[in-house]
Amino acid sequence: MLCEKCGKKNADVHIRQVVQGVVSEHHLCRDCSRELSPNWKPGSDFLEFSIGTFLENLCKNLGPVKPEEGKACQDIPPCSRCGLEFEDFRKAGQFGCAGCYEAFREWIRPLFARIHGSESYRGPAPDGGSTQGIDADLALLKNQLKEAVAAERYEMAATLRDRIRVLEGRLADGR
Amino acid sequence: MDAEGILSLPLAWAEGKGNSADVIVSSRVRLARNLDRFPFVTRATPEERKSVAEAVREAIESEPLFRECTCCPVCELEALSRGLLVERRLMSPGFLKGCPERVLFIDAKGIVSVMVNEEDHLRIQVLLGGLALCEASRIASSIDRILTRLGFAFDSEFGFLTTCPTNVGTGLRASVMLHLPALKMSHAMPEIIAQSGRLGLVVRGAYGEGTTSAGSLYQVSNQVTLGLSPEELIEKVEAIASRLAEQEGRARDVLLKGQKTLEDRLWRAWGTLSHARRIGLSEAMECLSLVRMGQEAGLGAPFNKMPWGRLFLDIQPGHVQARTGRQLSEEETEVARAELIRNALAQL
Repeated sequence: MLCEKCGKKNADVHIRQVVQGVVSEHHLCRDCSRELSPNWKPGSDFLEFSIGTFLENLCKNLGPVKPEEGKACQDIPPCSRCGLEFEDFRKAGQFGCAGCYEAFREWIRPLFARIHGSESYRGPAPDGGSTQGIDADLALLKNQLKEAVAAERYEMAATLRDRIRVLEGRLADGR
Repeated sequence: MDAEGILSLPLAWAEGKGNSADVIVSSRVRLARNLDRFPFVTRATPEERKSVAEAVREAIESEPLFRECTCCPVCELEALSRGLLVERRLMSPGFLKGCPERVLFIDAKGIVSVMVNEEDHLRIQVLLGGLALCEASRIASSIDRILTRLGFAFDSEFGFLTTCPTNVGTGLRASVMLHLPALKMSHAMPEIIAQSGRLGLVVRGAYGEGTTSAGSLYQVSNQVTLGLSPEELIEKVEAIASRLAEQEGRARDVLLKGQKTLEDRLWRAWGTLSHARRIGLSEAMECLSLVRMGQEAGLGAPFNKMPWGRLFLDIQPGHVQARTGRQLSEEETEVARAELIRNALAQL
């Protein structure tokens, strides 16, 4: 069996992961498995081989994380706060800022379901939550919407419009 | 801070106290948090990371809870000190690499450490001896509440927002380190490790690869951070840790009942530690594990006097070098380790 990442060497490392009863299997060569867990060090309780670096790097090998068929990743608008492209998030498995969660909300839900077996948070909210971040995001999104319409990128414009509605709804809810 | 300063700081988890301390070495709760107004660490500019570190420093230093805490900018730490802090589990190995704006705060009691600009802006860690996840969680939550005025990145649907999707939600990782020599000898660990995933938990060797672990030390931690409340996560990890501790107790009873072979093995481990002239880390950890087992099984003197927690730390490479006061080759480290153990046991 060949390594699922490089497709060149033999897969010597076999990982079977069970998250909330959902089983996934991965087959990698030694070099790729080492690359996927660069921080791994024997003798540390900080090592998060199976749940940390490993999975985040595997994001790039997961199937397309998109809600609608036919919608390409390049049509997903980048994060309006830090400029991170969705494709770059998929490759690196890391968000660039809090705004990325807002920007990619509908596309990351299936990924969270796969990793955590759930899509939503349960627990207390921090005290003194502020809406400053939402105001700033709204201003940026409205600018991006104007640009998308001017460039006749209507699919992107529709996504931006939906996102603006969600944020406005949240402001109205007092968040 | 120099190596001597670090060695003089208290370290609660290594004192060998707490509930079920015969099997459970330590309990740790870690919270990942980010400041909403700054890009996450990997995407922030050096100036932004500096501002994060400064904002956290101001918030921490104005709190009575952190009075007399130690602030260590990582780039100012000498090589010997870095190894010590990792071995004392006050910072992650990953924290050694990365941007120059990383700062570590350690409280005066040796229980709380806060890493700034690790993978997330803040990693708040509470580490206690024995089974004490609820207490560790209570302390972590109070620090979380104090620092919340920094404006944490939070979303009503996804919870606390983190750099990596595997930490999103509670941002909480609860872990318990257990000493399970009898379950390891009974070949029960591979099955336990395989089954743990079904419960949304990870059981793995704390030191070593795969299903084996040097010194028979294993770690149980939560795998998911989203969908369950912090209390539920803590409860889950604590329940499994308690169950494993019970099973270990039963396995020890079975193994020790009238078996001279095992007793002989424990005494031989004592012999190795008392007489070796050169000893590698994994052999030393294995022998210490057996001696600890003898201690808990009530084999009496000289087992009962051994300070496992202190010796366990002192045999780690960074500690051996710090005690010697210089960087050592592998061979020099092994010779110095053997001498250090012999001296410690001779003083009992």
